[in-house]
Amino acid sequence: MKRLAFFVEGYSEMLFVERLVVAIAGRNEVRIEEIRIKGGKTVPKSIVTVKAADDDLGQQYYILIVDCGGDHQVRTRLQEEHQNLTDKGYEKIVCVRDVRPLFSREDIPKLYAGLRTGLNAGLTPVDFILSIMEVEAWFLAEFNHYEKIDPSLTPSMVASFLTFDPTTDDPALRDAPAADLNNCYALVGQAYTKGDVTRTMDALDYAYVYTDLGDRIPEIKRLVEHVDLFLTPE
Amino acid sequence: MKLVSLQYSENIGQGQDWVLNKLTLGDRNLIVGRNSAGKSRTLNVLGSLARALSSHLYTLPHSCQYHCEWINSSGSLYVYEYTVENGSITLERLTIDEKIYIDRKEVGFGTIFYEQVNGGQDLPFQTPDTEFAISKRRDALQHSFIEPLHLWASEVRHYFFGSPFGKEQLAVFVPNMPPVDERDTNQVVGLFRNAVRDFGDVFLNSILQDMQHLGYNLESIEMGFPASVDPLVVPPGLSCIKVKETGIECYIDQLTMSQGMYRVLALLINVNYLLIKKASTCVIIDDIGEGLDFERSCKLISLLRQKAQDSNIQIIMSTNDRFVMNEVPLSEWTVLHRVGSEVHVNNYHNSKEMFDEFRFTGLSNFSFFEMDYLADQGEGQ
Repeated sequence: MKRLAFFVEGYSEMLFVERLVVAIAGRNEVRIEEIRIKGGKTVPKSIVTVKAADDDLGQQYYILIVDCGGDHQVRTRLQEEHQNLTDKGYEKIVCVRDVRPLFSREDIPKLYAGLRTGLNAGLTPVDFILSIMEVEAWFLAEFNHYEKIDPSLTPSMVASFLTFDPTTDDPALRDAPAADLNNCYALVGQAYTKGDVTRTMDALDYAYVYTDLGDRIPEIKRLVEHVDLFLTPE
Repeated sequence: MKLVSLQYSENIGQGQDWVLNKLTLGDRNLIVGRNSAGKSRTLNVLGSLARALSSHLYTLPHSCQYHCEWINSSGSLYVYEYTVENGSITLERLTIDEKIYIDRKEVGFGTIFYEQVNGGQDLPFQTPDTEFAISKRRDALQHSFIEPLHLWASEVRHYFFGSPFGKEQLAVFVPNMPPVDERDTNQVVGLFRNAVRDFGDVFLNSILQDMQHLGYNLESIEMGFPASVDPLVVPPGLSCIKVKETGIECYIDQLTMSQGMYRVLALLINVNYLLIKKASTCVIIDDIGEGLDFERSCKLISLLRQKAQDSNIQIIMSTNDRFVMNEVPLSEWTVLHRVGSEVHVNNYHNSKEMFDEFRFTGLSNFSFFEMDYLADQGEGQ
């Protein structure tokens, strides 16, 4: 069985990656397990199963998604689990984290370089994907989902409100995408909160994310390429 | 007074060399390093400096060299240096804002500044070459410049958190007994008695509040006969520290208290007494967090750092505990790295760029230590 792991900073990213993988591979083609690692910094470390691995139906592909409990924890969790995942035969690990709030746009090149510092080259290869400035930038640019949040919320409303056209503009240039998304939803009396991310995750058009969004967001392109490559039969 | 730097060496050229490169210090300091890097020895050097400055009974080492700097509240820089060779002081010098106040060389001869003579004048003196002029020549009228250093040194406290901390030392108080040595970390019962005598409920409430903050649900702390000892087999008047937990009738005395709880209690008794006395000094704690669970270890560190921030007390701690390291910002770290007999010092003061760069790795502070980040970046030596 081929194995791929994602280390993501939170629940939104976990749901996003899971649904993107399912959209690309098909629900019954991969076994997906989701865990959350908590503590270890100032309280004892614990591992919570968010979603147990799918039943073994003879799938060739196994994907582990780890919610690291914060952007500042992604690299540390990787460090802690890298050897273990290598020993278990994972062929690649993809880490996804935001740039905000700990870093600025100017820090991005140094952050990419810094994240690779201290990686053991003898272990499973790792790639880091930064969601610039936050993962909500990706949701902001997936313009098909607005009408599923509320039928009256259209991309043109968003464009005129934000002076950002979600159908064409680069969402990486937005400084606070989560706040932008919340403000867009507020136009129709809705809200985007961390406690209610499932609604947005359900509304996203993963087919569009897979086929088109990568042309506008290089980080999505890399994410999709990792999944595609993993799912390509040897 | 705040100690801002220390440079030390001993037994140079005698096959037992040990060199501590310049260690710069801030208000709050966490000293980290691998086993045998020199953490405890560095703290011992600090403790020894305080004893040399404040006690006539200090026994000279065979050979050592100190160079230390302090800054007082008005920004004046005090530099005190001395050299001991073959058990004799061969150099002793005190400079304040670049003016030399004590300048002494071999055989005990030197000059010292007299404030009340001709409006201030350097005069010769001779002190036995086994005694420090700075402690031997104390005179608040003629040499008042010595007093701040003496006061600083007399209030320096050096705690070994991993030690029994006087857990098994009880006390019997009798008339005309010698005063409690508040610098002796084993005399916790006597120190507690002094603190209650001097500050009463203010002191007791501060301890209770801190213990409760750390998750010890105490309703009272007092001194009295140990609850776990048969009164028929020990002298009357035996005293210990004992606590009562909320909702539990019986007392827990220091003999039966868990080692971890006792260490925390003893440390807080010491530190809070210094704070209430408004001492302006330095608290040295070796192996902080040792023996405590994760949560209490972190809370204790956080509490001590807060106390240092809110007071005139400088705090210098050492640890190997990952939870302690993660709790303390890298800007307060000093990493010791020993190569042969030379201990290299890296901290925010001398390796700012490396410390700032580490932020971009996205790793927790412990990894800075675990990965030997400075060595990897070529700065660890």
